[in-house]
Amino acid sequence: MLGKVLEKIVLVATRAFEPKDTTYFPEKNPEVRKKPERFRGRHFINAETCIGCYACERACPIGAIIMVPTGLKRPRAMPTVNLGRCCYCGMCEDACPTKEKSIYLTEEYDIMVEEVDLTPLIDDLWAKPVGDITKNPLVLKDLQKQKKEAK
Amino acid sequence: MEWGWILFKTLVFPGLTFLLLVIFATFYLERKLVADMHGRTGPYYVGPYGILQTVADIFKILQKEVIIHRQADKFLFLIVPAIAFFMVALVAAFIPYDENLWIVSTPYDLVISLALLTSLPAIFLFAGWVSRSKYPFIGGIRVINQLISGEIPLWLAGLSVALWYGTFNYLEIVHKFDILGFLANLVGLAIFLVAILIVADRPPFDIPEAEQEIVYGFLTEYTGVGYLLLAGAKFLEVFVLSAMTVTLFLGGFKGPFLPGWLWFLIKVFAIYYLAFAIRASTPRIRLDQLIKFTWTVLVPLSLLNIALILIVKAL
Repeated sequence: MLGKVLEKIVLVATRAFEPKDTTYFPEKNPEVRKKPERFRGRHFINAETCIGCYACERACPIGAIIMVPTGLKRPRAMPTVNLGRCCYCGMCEDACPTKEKSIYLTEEYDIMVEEVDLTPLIDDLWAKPVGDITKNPLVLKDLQKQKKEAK
Repeated sequence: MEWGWILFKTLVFPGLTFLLLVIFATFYLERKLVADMHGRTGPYYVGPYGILQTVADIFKILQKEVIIHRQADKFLFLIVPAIAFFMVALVAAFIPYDENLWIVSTPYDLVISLALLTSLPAIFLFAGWVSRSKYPFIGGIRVINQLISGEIPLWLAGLSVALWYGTFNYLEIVHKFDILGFLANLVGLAIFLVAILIVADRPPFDIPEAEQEIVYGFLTEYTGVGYLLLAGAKFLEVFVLSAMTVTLFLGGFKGPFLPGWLWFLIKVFAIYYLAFAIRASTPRIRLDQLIKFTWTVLVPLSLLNIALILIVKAL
């Protein structure tokens, strides 16, 4: 009886010097960060190539994408994804008609979201267009047209 | 100079500041070491090695509202945690951390410390009683169960050391310590270790705080500062009892090369490690099992130990 108890105590006491069963969160242990090949994470929306065709919004099965008006003639609006509502199915990526996909799912998965409301105010909850919209070819074309008309 | 040194001792190193640090350290070490034994990581993110996690938790507790419910005796409810804390802190004043690092040294150190520790369960019972609530009251009654089962082996094992060295003074005990004394008191050490687990309500004898049965024992109704003081008193009790073990059985601050206080802390850490290993490996035992164990095994064994020491001393 006493021998068994002592054996257990010694076992547990020496266990502290052996390697741990848990690993540190990925930032300290890059091996854990390895993801499957077609992992679907946070969205990347390229403001420089998007043409504002509304295809992704129509393709989205649960209405997580809303088109936010840009205030320009072309592209009229750009997609913004509610990450709390999104189911990460990748339909928007398939629907995107541009040659180089303007909306696609990256491997980034450190997302902390909560569905609060549908107003795009908090950056963490929304995947917003990234990049300089003035470099968008459509915008440049419109600018050239405007210049010609002005002349 | 003399007064400055005394003030430094009472307020900083072996005194209040050090004791508060001890509470933080016990809290942290308990989590970290038990996590290590389980193969987990434990506190990790706040501060280096998660050291500041304890600080964050304690400040969180301090922010909490002090709730006193209607039936409770307000004055007693508020004053009991402070009394418990100071009772334990008083015991710490007698312990010699180094040749010159002690606050009080009297010819009756051991008896006074044991007496103060024995009166603690009464305070805890009182904490349960003034709460006027079911679970705290049951917890308080269970503390008395610990008292009648744990304190007698504690006293007998402690007094066997005093018999061997012929003194109650901690400093003299440490000075007279040698390998022969260590070997003669080995049985006493084993009894004392089990007894401190019972007295300090450590697992597997944490019957008064059994979470699955009576929520948190006599601590249930306490919130905020009151809870912190009571829980701090319990943590300090663990430290004080470990420090007493080190002083009585393991030669206190004696040791080669390193400074005395460091040796003392290393030895206390070893006792902590053992206590945490026991916590991580053994399940809680029942009330009646505890009483049966102490009165049929521990008390006779400690009486035999005293007889043995008397015989060896007479030879």
